[in-house]
Amino acid sequence: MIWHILKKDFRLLWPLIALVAAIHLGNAALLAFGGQFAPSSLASDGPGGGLGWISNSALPFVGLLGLTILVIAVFQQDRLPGTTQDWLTRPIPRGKMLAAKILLIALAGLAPILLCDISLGLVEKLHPSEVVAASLRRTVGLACFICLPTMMVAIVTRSLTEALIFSLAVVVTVLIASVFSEVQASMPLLQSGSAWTIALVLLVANVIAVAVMLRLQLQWRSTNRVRWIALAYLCVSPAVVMLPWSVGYGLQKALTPDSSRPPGTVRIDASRAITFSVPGGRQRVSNGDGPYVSIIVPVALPKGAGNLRWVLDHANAELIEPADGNSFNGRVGMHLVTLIRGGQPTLVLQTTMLLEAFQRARQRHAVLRATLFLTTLLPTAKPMVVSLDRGGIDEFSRCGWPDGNAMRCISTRPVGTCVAVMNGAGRAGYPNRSFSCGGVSYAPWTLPIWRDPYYTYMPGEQVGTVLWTYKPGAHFAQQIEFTLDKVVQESGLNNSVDGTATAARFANPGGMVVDTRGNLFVIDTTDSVVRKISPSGEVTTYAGQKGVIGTGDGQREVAQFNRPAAIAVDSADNLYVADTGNALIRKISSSGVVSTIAGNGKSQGDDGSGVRLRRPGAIVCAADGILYVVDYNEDGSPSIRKVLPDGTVTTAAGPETEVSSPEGLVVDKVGGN
Amino acid sequence: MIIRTEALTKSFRGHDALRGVSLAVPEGGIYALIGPNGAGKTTTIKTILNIVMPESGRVEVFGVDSRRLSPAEFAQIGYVSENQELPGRLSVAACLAYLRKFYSTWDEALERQLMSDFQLPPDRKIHNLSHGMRMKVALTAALAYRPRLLVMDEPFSGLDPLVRDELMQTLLQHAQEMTVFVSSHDLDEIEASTTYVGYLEEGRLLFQESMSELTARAREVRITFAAAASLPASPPGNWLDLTVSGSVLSFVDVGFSENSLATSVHSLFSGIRDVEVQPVGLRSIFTSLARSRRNRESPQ
Repeated sequence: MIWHILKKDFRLLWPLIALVAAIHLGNAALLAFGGQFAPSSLASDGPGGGLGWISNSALPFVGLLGLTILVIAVFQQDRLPGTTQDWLTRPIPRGKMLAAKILLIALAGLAPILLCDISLGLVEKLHPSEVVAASLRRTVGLACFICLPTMMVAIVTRSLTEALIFSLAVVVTVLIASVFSEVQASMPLLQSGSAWTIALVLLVANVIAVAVMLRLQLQWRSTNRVRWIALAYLCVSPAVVMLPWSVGYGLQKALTPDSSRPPGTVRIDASRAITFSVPGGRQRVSNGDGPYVSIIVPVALPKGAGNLRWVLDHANAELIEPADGNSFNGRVGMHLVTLIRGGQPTLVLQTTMLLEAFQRARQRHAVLRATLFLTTLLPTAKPMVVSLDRGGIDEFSRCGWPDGNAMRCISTRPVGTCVAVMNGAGRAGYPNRSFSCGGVSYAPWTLPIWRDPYYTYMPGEQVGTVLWTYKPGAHFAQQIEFTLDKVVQESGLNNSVDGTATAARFANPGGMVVDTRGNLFVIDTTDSVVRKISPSGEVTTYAGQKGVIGTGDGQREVAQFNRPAAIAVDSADNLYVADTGNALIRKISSSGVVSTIAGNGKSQGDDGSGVRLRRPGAIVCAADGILYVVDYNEDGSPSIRKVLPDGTVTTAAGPETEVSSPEGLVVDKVGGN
Repeated sequence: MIIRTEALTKSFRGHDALRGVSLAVPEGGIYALIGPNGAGKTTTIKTILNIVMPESGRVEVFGVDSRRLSPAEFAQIGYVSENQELPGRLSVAACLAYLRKFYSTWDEALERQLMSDFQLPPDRKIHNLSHGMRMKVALTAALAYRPRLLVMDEPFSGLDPLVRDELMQTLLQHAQEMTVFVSSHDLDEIEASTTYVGYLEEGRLLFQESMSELTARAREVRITFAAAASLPASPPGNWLDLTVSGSVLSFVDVGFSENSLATSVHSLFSGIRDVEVQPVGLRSIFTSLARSRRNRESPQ
């Protein structure tokens, strides 16, 4: 019976079906025969000029529009609203009629798209199974995010005109709502590695919404009620991008099969090297926010890659210029966006460093080859668990981030990648920096979220997600897990709250350090307190009074600080706090007594010059007990101060030194170097 | 009973379309649901066929709650309506071929015969047909599987007399095999063959009974007076549509018996010259009922 109904609809709609399929097939042919990534046939604003907009924009748009019209037409052949349709009194099981409609959409609307995507992938000589997987993913995406919402419109309207008016009402409402709400500022989840959960939530919501509406329509004949429900749902559902970060992460944690994998298991099965040449891919040069080049590289991603955020581990480029034999070799800094485009998994690389080489390659018909190593952020993070390992955090802080001032780690993955949210001052030159630990080099890279990675950030400004990768087997990272800065921000309270692990909140965490017992001490700058995170994950206020500013010494509970920035620890577990607002160096003894050991002119330099601390920031304690402090002068220039155990302050470096904007300090094992 | 409704109510945007309709349609024969426009006939039929949901009350068709009518029950129900939307972009033949698959009892010979009788063009698309031709297609698509129950909602509305006669003849040819439940305000065609009648007005079923009982108790009465006639101050409730014309008073007595009429006439009037009593048709009963109700609501 399903087939019988399907045949009837096909007989009525075959011209539309053929037209929609022809659009998709035509676009696929254009891409295949013109070279999917050939500049001459694509990218109207690229170097090739040409008619790229047809295959890049116009035909895909028309094709998807055709698909939506087809969905509406299929359902409106036996439309649901109204009481005069002949089928209402025929012995047609409504479930089978629905199944026939869905099957027709799948066969006549989605199958041609799937075939086109698979064909394109095979033309590009990608691995067949990966091509099929990627194409199926896109088809399912179209079914869930295009066809299902269109179905909602189709089941409450009687004609294409009504459907158009209904859709316009939805679009206008959503646009007005987005204009009058600060949506952009409320999408933390969208910008996180758990963003795929948004799609999952929307998918489930779409399925439930369609099921409810169909039931109301088919069984209860409540068109008016369903119209309001559909209108409300379609207007409200885009707000899923504002889902709280914690919800998305909770979903990710619950749904990811790897979450039960014991720590220490290393798996980087998604890493791979890619080689591409320029020209040969699509290029686009823009002078918008600054010169950069985008290179779109076709890459077959592994199964399940749609759920993963891909990052560039590192890349090496080589420019071969046959004319003069010159060559360019270098490491290219890039960030990377994953797209599934036309069923084709595609990576977009953007870089400024490659620009010159790229332009030279274009001018001299040279070939630029780059080898990219990709790493995926597997959705296995467990950032909610605070499980500190002394070696971990200590090693970590010595690997280029000595005082933690610029780092808030929101998650770690024992599989090769760590995500951190930077909250520091100064320049965000992280992509250019690398650090080493235990003889292994690590390269941090940023995923620019709110800003370009070369943007100069203001102190305290949210920078974005910083990624760095490490080799499999690196001992420390397997056990480092930190508090959630994102959750803190998401609470919107900017208040520090004690509690266990995820229940705890930080107002504005600053520096952090670990003592010999594995306790993590975190400066909570805004509330002027020192927080303690025990190895079991219990977060308490260790020293200072929440929100109370002062210089009072004494027992740690009654002492006061003024917006401290950084903290250090010595071998006897004494803590040293750079009390920035008070221009003091405070000591919290291992027994919990707070005292002022330097600053405010009380200490005299060994040369009698009377060195005063102005704005102490990063602080580190060398093995010999000497403290080194980054101190900003009134003109903003930094100096490195040396604080002896007796409180004497001297200037170790600056401001005439080459140090321009230090973000942290580190000492080696000898100390003082 | 092949159809039974109990205290059906339904309203649309605050207007009560049905106000406690309780119908009982016996199996066999033709049941005519009559009433003026807006009485609730179509809503009653759509509720019976589960096209609209009642707000309260209950409908049973073949003893099954209408909200649970399954394809097995629908396979025994034919439906023809003046507003019925057949798949217009299909040709007549394709439409019948499409519907044929859903009925195990579909009689292709009967289908061919009906097509021939109605002179239906098999290759014409339905939306290109006239209203009369579409009604013929609808009746063909309803009779071809020999339903146990044929429900018709104003089937003759808007048809020219020739088409109306064709449809009526075809319907009557097959009416013996099934129960016909028809709503109409076009009473002449169905009167002769109607076995039961229900009168619906403003969402209320005022009466339902067999046609023989109704015609037996309804008479048109003309009383001629020696002088000018006048309306009685308080006529009996079963006298409807009282009109005075010169010395003649006429009305329809829907509770007729010779004795009661004689008693009432002599108690109310004097100077009577003649009393004439005649059988009355369904149309007269219907119009008298409608007119008298209207007069009660606006006595001036």
